Amino acid sequence: MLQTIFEVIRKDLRLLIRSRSSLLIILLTPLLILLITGVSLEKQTNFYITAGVYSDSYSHLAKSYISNLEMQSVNVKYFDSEKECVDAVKYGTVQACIVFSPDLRIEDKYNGFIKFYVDYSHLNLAWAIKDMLFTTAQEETKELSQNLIDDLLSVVETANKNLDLQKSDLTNLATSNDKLSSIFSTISSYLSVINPKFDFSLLKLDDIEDSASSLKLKSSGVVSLASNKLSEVSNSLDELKSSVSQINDSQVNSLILPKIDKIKTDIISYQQTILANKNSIDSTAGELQSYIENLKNQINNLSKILDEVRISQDKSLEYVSDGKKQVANILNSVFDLQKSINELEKKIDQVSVFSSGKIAEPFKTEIESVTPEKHSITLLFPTILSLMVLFVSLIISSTLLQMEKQSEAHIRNLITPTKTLIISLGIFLTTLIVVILQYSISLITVAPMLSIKGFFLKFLEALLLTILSSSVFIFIGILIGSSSKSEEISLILTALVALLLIIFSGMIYPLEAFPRGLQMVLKLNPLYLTDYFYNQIFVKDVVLTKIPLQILTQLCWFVGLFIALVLLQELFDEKFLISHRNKALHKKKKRNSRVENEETEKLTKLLVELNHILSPKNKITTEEIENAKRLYLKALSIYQKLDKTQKEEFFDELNLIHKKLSAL
Amino acid sequence: MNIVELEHVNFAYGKSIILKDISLKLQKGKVIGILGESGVGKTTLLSLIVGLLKPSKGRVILNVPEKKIGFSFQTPSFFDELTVEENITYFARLYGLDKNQIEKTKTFLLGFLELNDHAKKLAKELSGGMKKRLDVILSLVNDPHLIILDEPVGELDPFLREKVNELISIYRKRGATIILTSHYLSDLMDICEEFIILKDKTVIFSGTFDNLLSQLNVNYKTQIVLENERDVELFKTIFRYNEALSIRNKVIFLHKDKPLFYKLLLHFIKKNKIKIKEIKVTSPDLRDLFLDLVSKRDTNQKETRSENENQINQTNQTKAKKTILGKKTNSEKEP
Repeated sequence: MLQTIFEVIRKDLRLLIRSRSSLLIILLTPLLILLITGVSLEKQTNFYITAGVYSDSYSHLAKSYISNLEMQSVNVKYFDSEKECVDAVKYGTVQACIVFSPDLRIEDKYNGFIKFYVDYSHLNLAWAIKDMLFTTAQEETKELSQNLIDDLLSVVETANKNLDLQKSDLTNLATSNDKLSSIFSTISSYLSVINPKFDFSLLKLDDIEDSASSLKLKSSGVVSLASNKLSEVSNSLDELKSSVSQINDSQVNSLILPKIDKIKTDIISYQQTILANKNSIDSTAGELQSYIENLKNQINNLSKILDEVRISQDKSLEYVSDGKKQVANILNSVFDLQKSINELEKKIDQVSVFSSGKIAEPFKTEIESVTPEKHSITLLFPTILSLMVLFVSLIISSTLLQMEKQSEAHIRNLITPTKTLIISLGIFLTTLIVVILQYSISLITVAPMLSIKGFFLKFLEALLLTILSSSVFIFIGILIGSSSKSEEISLILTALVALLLIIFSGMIYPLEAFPRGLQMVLKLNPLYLTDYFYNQIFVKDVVLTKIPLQILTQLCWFVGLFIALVLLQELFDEKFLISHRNKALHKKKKRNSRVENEETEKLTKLLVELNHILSPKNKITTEEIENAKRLYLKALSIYQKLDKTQKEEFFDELNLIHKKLSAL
Repeated sequence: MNIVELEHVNFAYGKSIILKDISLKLQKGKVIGILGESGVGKTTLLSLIVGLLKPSKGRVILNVPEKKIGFSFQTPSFFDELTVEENITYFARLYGLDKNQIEKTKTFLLGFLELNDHAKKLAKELSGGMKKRLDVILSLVNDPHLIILDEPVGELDPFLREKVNELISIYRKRGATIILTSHYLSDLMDICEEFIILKDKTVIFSGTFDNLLSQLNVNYKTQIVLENERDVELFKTIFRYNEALSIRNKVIFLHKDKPLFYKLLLHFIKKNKIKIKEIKVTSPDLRDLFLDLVSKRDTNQKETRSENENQINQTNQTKAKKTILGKKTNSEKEP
């Protein structure tokens, strides 16, 4: 049994090796894949991603973060709104969106944030992007925290230094304070010497009463004099009144007389008053006299006391002056201390963050997904569906074409007027029907797990794109089938093409791992586009009108491959070449010999008639001979017009007829 | 009018030359048989005519529309996984026939070749003979003007062979040109009007049966059955008889005239005391002429035969003179 198996293996290897194409493909395929993949991916493991950024206003902090990103080879694209930025992630224009809070800064009262929007449907890329951006944010935060702590520490250090400096001032202040204390003690002792007591009984008020009596005497003389004078005035007024009454002016009389009366009345009252006061004055005056006397004596005593006070005062003043100087010194020290404290305050004021939470986390970082919460099968489904469409389309189309070519009936196909292209189109439609069927079954089966909103519309949208994408793969499969000489070569080529498409579609390794220039080319990969379509429809709920560029690219593949298929079918179809060539020759011959064909027909008819006339069975009359001669001459004239090849055809026959006629 | 013209056509697979310098003009409305030994290139020639192969040199001109070519090769050419009816319908459609035409043709051909009962069977389930019949039907489904048949009656019993031959005649009467190959030379003889014989990668004869007779310069076939097989060796040494045609104790001669030949023959037999069981004289058929033409004998052998005859003639004339002198009749001197 082992030997039999070995024999089978040997036979199969021989078959493979003897086919040069399959041998070449088997040997070169792994090398080719390794070469292409190795060259494309280079040595570094960074991803060449593009990140969208948005902020109402970019602060220095935000700009610093962005420049850090750019240093890590992240391509940064600015957007005018958060929505535009998030949509760009959805459509794949950028791989992540970073939104900074307006005027991002670190302050106790300011709640800054950095928000990251990532597409989790690209599972192989999302975490890498998240790591890259988040790590950068964390590094930035760490740096800021460090800076804040550094600021605080420097303030503390400065305060420490200044306080050291001010320690000696404080010591001086204490010393000065002591001195001041002793000065004030001395002042106190001197001041205690001063006896400010004074005996008021010594003032003797009775004495002052006595004095007042003297005054009384004097005042009574004054009063009598005043009273006398007032009486004189009153007499004068009486005289005046009589004088006025003599005037015969009613007006004057009405005005002046009352006034005179009044004055008189007043004088009388004054006289009374003076008299009243005279007595009191007399008494007071007497008292005053005595008091004054006493007062004189006391004043003398007081004078002595004041002298003593004066002496103490002088001494006190001296000491107070010293004290003032000391106080001034203390004041200066206090000012200096005040200044230092002010400076310290200023520095402390400059530190904007005192909250420990803020220091630990200067601003918040959040990560959000651009896709709504979905089951993991939903994220995988687009890829699975794309692979299914790829393999079914490629394998069935190439296999059907190979089956057609390898079947015995293929020769009959070539003979019919139906072009190979029509048969290829038939295969195309057959494969497409199978793909649509599989797509429908897959989607309907998985639909409950996907929780798709608007299922019917999405089904139709995805169906259209399935037809487009599948057509591209089917054309590729037909091209492979047409160009392959055998089934095994066809299968190997199909596998190779599928493998290359998958490797460079971003399904295994993100496209962002390739250099940017190559990324742009790889995004033209029809498998990448297929995966993209399904991702947009099922995961991101995007409508077709939002992705016109990608649809257009896939359409270009469709048209280009269709044209290639039409042109190459002509090459593969040998029979076409032959018939085409023959037709061309035939047309050329036909053009030249159109006239000649008519002539040969005429000549043939003439010869048939002549042969009939000259048939040995018939008895020939003279008339018939003449007729035959005439026909022969006619035939001869037509014969002269023919080409060499045609002449050869008719030469023998004409010769024979000539002989027969000659014999007659 | 010529339906097919081949002008100095050469064909080779790589360095291996299959056909060289073939020039033919095949007339419309004829039934033409192609003969040759196995592997001489008959199928290749048919493939070149129908356009499946491209000549290495020269050109092939087909004066027939593409729709009107039908062929049947040695290996049946249809889809094993389709039924008989489905195969007919499919290929008829490829030729552009409509539903009515297909039904009509299908009914006629299936009935004629007795495949009606097997119409619903998958092609792979048919016997070898049925497959061949189906293949023939597929070659005729489009009412072709040029029909190429490669071994159309292989694997068929005599009755069905006859049916196929009859079908060929029907199409010939409709004006079609039929080019066919067959190992049944008697069938070819019955149905073909012209023949093409291939030998040594080229055409060595093209024309009617009468032309063939003229070319080979024969009119008669004499067959002698010997009693003793060893006596065959004697004929070899003297007459250079037609080795290709002779079998065991049967010696066959193809010759042009009768009297002198028989005279000499009888003389030889008598002289060597050869015992004869039977002598039969007939007209040669296609098989005889074909075998003679493609036998190991080259043209020199034919010349030798002519020389022998000339010698015989000269000998005869001498004898005749002597006879005249000896008063013998003139009939003895005619070659």
